[in-house]
Amino acid sequence: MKFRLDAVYVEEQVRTSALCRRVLARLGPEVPVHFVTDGREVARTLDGPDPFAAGKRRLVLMKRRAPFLTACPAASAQFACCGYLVLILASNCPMDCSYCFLQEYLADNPAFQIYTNYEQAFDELERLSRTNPKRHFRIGTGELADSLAFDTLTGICPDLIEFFLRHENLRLELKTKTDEIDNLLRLDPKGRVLVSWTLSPMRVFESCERGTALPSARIEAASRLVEAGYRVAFHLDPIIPYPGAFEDYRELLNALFDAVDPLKISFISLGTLRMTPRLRAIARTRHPQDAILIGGEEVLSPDGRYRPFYPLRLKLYRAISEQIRAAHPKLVHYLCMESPETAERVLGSRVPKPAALGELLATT
Amino acid sequence: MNEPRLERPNEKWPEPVGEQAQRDALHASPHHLQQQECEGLDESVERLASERHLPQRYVAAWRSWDARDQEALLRVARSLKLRTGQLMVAIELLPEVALQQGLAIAEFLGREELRHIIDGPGSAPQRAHAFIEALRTFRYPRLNRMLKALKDELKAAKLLPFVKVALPKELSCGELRIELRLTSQAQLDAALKVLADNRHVFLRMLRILDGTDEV
Repeated sequence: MKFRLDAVYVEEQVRTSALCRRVLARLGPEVPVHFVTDGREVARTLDGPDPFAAGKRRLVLMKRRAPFLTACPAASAQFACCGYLVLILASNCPMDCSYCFLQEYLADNPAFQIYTNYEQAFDELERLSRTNPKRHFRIGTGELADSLAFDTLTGICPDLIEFFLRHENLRLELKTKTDEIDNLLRLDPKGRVLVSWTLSPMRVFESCERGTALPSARIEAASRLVEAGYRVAFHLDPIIPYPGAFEDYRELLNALFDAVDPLKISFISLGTLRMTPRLRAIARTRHPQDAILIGGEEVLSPDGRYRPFYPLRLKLYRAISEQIRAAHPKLVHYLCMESPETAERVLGSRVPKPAALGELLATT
Repeated sequence: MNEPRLERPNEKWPEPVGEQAQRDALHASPHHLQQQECEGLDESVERLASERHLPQRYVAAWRSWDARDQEALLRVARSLKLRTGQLMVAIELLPEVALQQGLAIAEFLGREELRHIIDGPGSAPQRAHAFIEALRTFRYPRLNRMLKALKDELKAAKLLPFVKVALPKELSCGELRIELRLTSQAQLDAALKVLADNRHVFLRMLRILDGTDEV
């Protein structure tokens, strides 16, 4: 995808790394490149009326000092979690969705950071694989960044896929809102690489998502990757119950199941819009004209987040769940960041423990 | 007092009002603006904000609106003598509702349903209360419809003073809380009987809270 970059900052210590050389070679000459001692300094200090947006236009190539592999930042004992692990190869995203949690999560560290020492992530993954040989893990790169949006710049995906294919108990999930699959089509995933898309109806796309591929283009990309031997999954997240949402989500799923055989879908996750008060305030300030975001019937919920009021939330979850079951009774779907009680109310059965659900999602 | 005659909210946001109503709203000339005639809009807003001890965040939000929108709320606030909390709610909700409706705030305040309240009969506090309720209904139409259905169910049930039923705040969860405050066996027996007699009411309320009943 096309980046609008104001400047690139390169940490002196990584300027000779392969990834850094690759990125700089692929960037146009019009983007000024600066060399700095510590990338963290330029990643944090952004001024102006919208530092988060400015951060998306400031690319910092730097060393990651923290572990690459972490638990999902949304994981909590109060939720029925899916055991997802996150590999942080980059931070922030060139797209700008009004509901995105990164607006709060990266508020103090907003620059678009790409970590050049990503080979160290392989050491961490190697340890995880070796020390848990009987368990399976689903590990995604699309939590703090889009997995594919900048792959034309970095070319990391081939290395990742090659590594994961050598480790039977690790399943890579590349999560995206783009249709940038050309790099993937050149590779052989051996049926063991998962690519997932966050999907929204057109009205949400038009109101809330900036810089993302059309929902239809995402579905088309998924269809092509299924043909190419990839596993695919979808995240209906955030589900927003605006007036007309029931019809729109039904049409979205119809379009999805028309294009992608439900039997070929590994899983679908569901999560309604949820925002901490701080995120809600930030999003409303940054996107004051987003009628779907601003006009939703969210209320402060017991977990301290604004969510659609409960009966409406359950009703929309159930409608979507029933449609998924109708498409294929065994198509795995689960709720993200909801309590076990809510998940049970919607899905009609006890939800597995995170490790068990994680195992299922990593092997399905 | 007269209840505001609001349209029953439905799945669609209410339609925008016609141009005439919008013009009427913009040119409405309430009679309490003598003070304002002697000072500019900025001073008038600041004066009212100061009188109401309105937190600065809300003053800033109000002042950030288009001048016609600021003035429209100023007129309403003076006409209805909105209290501090009510003014804060109005400042929070009006931009959101106006965006939902695809209208400027001033135009939205010119809707007939609101004018009926603002310029209608009743004391200022009564009209202020009705105005805020109307704003909430516009802003949260489905939530209010469901809350009303639940409250109607409760009204229909013949409960006893020592049997209290609490709905979850803003329907943020699916839990119905029933509290018994008993001091005697007679009260216990009466409470159990009233619960049993109203079992169908509670079941219906639970189905509404579960999202399984249409409202």
